[in-house]
Amino acid sequence: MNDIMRFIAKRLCIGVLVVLFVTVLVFAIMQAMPGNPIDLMVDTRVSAEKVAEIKAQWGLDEPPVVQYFYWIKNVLRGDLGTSISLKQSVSDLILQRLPYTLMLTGAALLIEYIIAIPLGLLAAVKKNSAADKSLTVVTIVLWSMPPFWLGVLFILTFSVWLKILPISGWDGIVSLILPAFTLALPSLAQIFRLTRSEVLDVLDEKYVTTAYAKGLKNKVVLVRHVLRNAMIPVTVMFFLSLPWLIGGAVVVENVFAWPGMGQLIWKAISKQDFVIVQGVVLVITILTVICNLIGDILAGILDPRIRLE
Amino acid sequence: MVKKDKFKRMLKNPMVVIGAIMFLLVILVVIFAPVIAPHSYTEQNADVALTAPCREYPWGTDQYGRCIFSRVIYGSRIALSVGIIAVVIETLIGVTLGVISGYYGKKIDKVVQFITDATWAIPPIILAMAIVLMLGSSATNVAIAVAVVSWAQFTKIIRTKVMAIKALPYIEAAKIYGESDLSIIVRYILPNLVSTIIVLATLAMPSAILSTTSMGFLGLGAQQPLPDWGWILQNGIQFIKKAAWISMAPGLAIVWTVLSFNLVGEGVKELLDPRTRV
Repeated sequence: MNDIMRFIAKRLCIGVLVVLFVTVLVFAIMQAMPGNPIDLMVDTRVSAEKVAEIKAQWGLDEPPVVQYFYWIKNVLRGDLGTSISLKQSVSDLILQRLPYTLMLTGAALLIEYIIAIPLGLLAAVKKNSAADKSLTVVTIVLWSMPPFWLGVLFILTFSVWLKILPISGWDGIVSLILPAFTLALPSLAQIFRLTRSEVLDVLDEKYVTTAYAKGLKNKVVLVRHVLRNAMIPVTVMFFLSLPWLIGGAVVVENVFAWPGMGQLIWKAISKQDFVIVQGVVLVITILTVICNLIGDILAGILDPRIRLE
Repeated sequence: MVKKDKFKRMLKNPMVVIGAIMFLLVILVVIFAPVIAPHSYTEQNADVALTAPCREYPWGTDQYGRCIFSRVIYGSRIALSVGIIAVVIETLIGVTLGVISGYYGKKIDKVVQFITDATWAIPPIILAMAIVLMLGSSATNVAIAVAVVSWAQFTKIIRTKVMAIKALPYIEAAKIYGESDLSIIVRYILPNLVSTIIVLATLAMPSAILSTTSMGFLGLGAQQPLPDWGWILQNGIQFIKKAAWISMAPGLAIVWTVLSFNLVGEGVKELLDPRTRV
């Protein structure tokens, strides 16, 4: 048990360091941005002295290092600043939209795993069969699809022609179907391939031969011995694939006018509202760091070899 | 000899052959775009706005009466060059850091590893959007932004390779002989990495094209009237009910290009997998 605790503690430290690194990075990007929030907020008729006074009031006349600590202090209190274009608290804006993005990525992950794991198992057990080969081809094609185009195809088929699902926006849980599948299908290939190769590896293990030699039924061996061990990397992948999925969500949200974080940051960029951009990047990064951390720790718990490295 | 065998085996894989042919077609389109396209990509004609595909306009027209087919054909130049620039930059960053980390080891290695892991943790599209906001929207800036967020995949593999090469006797001999680190890296280590770098760069192309066209889709790529595949698609969504062809054509072009790289990558990946080696 001791080495597990040590492993978790080490990972937690690294996680905190990564978050700190990201805050510095985000702050640096925003510092390099042309103009500053006051110049954008204040009318050009306001005198230079008044502008300087406001800047001093906001601490913007301090050196960047001091400003960074001001910013961090506010962030720690949950204050991400006030949006330039919407004149609202960025924390509130993010909190309103975060549930929608989480719902979309969560549903997509669920769909991905429900489809990919059984197919991966099937492809591995029937290796080199017609089913295996066609599944490999289908997943490569799906993998090559830009999610935004897949989304357009779905809208055309299910909303414009068949008229059975809403085109865009949020209108109850049915609105979730198209965006979730759009997000899930292209990234499903990864999980499918991982499951397939892991199952193939495990099938070669001696304990599987033993299980068959004991006279266990094929189904029992596959579920109890093969799938359980092959699932270790697949479970870890669940958390590690999140950053990519969230990135994809930004694009998919745009296709379906989904009221999530992706739409928020996209609109903010078109209005040069970098207070929102800063906040969204920070929140999403912290979320992914947490997910990576869970993935790492889970890997260590499930597979003792990793934590002893 | 071994390399030749592997190359032959690659050509036996039908997926690789199909991918290579598809890619060749893309290259032909890029080179002969002015010959293939019936119109220029800027030519507007309000009389034929939103025309369905016909003989004059094979893939229809957009709301300004511009020929979608011609725009997609010319757009291949932007899509491919932005993708290639992105991959070249990310190769430069990734390989440099990987070599430094693998060659010097110890504390430097730890720092580089940390930066690599930290970059890996940030959702690529989101960080790329922030970088484009900083640099301004343009095709070049999209390539830079995508490269800055995706070099980490190179560093890990290059680092492991460099560590293996560094342990070879002739590197030790060169060190005893008094050669400088830089000269050892340039003369002995980099030549050994060439094939790995080519393989990694090929494998990085599809995701680079998907990311750069995604940025284009979000309106951050090449600016109007340049034909950016992502943006043509985005522009078509508002006409999805009466002019679906606008969004269909650039989407097909992206899938075609990305698929060609992914299919070739299927064969190329085997070159990287140590289990298929020897």
